[in-house]
Amino acid sequence: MESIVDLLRYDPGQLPASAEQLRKDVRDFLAVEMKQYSALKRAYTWDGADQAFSEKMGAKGWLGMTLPKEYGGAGLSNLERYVVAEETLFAGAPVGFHWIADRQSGPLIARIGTEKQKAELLPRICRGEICFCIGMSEPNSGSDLASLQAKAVRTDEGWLINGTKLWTTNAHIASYMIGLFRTDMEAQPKHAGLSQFIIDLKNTPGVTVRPIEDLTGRKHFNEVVFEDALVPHDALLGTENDGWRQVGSELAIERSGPERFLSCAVLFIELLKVLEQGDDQSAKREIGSMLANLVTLRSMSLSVSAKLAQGDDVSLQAVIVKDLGAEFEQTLPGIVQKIVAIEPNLSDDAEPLAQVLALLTMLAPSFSLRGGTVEILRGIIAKRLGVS
Amino acid sequence: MSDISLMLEDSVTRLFSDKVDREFLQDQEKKGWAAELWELTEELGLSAVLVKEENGGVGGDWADAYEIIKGCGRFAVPLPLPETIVARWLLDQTNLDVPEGPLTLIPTMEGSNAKRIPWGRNAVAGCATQETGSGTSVRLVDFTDVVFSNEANLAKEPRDNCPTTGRVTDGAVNLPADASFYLGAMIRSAQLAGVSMALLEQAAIYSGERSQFGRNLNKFQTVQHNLARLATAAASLDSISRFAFATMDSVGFKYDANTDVRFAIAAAKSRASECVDLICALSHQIHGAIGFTYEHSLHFYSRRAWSWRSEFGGSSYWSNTLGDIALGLGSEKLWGAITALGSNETTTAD
Repeated sequence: MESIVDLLRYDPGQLPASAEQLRKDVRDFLAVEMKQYSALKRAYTWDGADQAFSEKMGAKGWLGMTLPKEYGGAGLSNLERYVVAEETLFAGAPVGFHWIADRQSGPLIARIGTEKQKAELLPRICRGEICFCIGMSEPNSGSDLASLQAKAVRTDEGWLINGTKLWTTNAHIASYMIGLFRTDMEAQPKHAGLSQFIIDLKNTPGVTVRPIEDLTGRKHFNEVVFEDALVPHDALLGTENDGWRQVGSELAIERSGPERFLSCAVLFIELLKVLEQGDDQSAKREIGSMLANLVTLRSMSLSVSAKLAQGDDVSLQAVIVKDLGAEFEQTLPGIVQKIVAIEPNLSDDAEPLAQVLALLTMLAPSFSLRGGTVEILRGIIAKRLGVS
Repeated sequence: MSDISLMLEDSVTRLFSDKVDREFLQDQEKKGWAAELWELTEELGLSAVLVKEENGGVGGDWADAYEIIKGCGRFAVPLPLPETIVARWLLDQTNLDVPEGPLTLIPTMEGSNAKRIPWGRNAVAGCATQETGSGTSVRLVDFTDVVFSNEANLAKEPRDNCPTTGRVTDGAVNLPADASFYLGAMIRSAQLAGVSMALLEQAAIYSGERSQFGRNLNKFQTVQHNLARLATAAASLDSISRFAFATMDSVGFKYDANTDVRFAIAAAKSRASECVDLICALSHQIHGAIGFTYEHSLHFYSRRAWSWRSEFGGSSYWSNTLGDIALGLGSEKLWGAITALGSNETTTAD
């Protein structure tokens, strides 16, 4: 058996030389595009969605970069995508419309989709025309994902879907959902009888999307109800009853990206702007400590990205990045409060730092929930290390 | 990873796991210098890993050195091997002759006073980079006739003061004056990464053996989660320390602390020093009372961690340094400096 030390290895990820020009191009593009964006608007990062912005990214060739050229991609490695992802996140660009499709739906379809699915969907993902959402959680299946109930039954006309998906980010603007449904009701263990489907949300009768207001007052996640929704036979993605494993393969990239520690970059920068004015020595240490955390997380994230580019299994390393990233981001609002005497304030005329602090203080609880709760992640880490 | 790295990691792991166990460490704390173990490391050429091949060394890079130095931490190796590796690299950049035997790094030198020199009494000489008017020199201090006033760190590793310096020779070098202090911090962060792994490994083993309430400790979810947090912290140290060594290979010292290896080293030592509390606390908590005894081996690792965190600058020093870097660059340029790390280009913040 591999030792714990080998399992936890993070070999330094080195970006290819070509990435530097790419980074410069992205920065130049963002400098123009983001000019009108307030700090508060930037703070939404991947929660902010703007199709027009995504289409511009697509026109630049910065979406679906890892997808094959024949389907409109650039055939590049995950490292080039990493550069574009971290630059757009840091700038607080509204990447929400394309984020999920670019990060995982596209690559998943490219890997296991049928020729028809690839030809139909990938070029549109690369152009920033379609938004994807991921249908996983249900009213009675949150962390206990394997217990999910929504089902797809094969009929002569296609798959008949019934059930409810919950907390589905962007379902209200998405053209497609890649959803996980039960296809074998008798299967044991529970996770054995699940399959993934690509569902056309806009053109399938029987699908109702109901936005749910979050505690900040925004609507970005949804309840999606399926009532005898009929999708064609070829909506099945990958292999029937192999959904659990397919979903697992998406997670390494979902959990280790720069969004795991850059969601609060705007807060950090606004804090720095305020501190630049004064001479607070104790603040300096807090800033340094935060920066050490951020640079550490980036080294881990970059390492995972480089390994993914080589096709290695880094699911454990990815889970660790997510766990640590969530912890880091959740402590930031408190650290800001420790350094600066400031009240979170969402009013239009409030200081940018007060506005951003207000938003992120309220968003913080979600960091250790979405993409796997911290409890689930720590359970996975213990299991993978063979210490449970 | 290079073949040399793999080979080194393998031989270091075999040598130290074979020789350095609890009995050895207990014995060494009483007797002092582990001469035999030092000779074994010399036979493998470990201290010459960074010395050029034409000068009789291994010709390895910093990534290779990392495996050895991390191994020294993981196995609580009671030798100034990390210090000697760096000292020999520094001397290799100059025209000075390299003395035979263990060397060390002098953390701070004020006039003729040098304090808390790691393994001073056991080393044949110590060195540090210093500003000498015309530029930076590697200052080599011969310890042959030096009388040390002996002190030690919490792990009883010698940290000696030297009231009068010995014979001094200077060799010009193309490095910033604080290079040796940064490199000292870099090796301590690698040792901390190694010792964190040991604290994790021991906790993992113990929790799988010890049973309470009718089941092994690692069957309790609270314990599993503590092990996961411990693993996460240890992994983060390994990552950032490894990253600093890799940056030494790709960028080195470039006379611009904002974009060169100093940024990565400051982050590594700051992070490492800050994580020590959590890592030691969790490992000790999982071990319960037995881990608090001298008889158990756990303290050989935790006492080192508690000392190494402060040596060559602790979290206060390094987070302050990073804070200076951040505020110096300002909100406009900081991101450029962060992304310059790990890039293949050797230039730039702007």
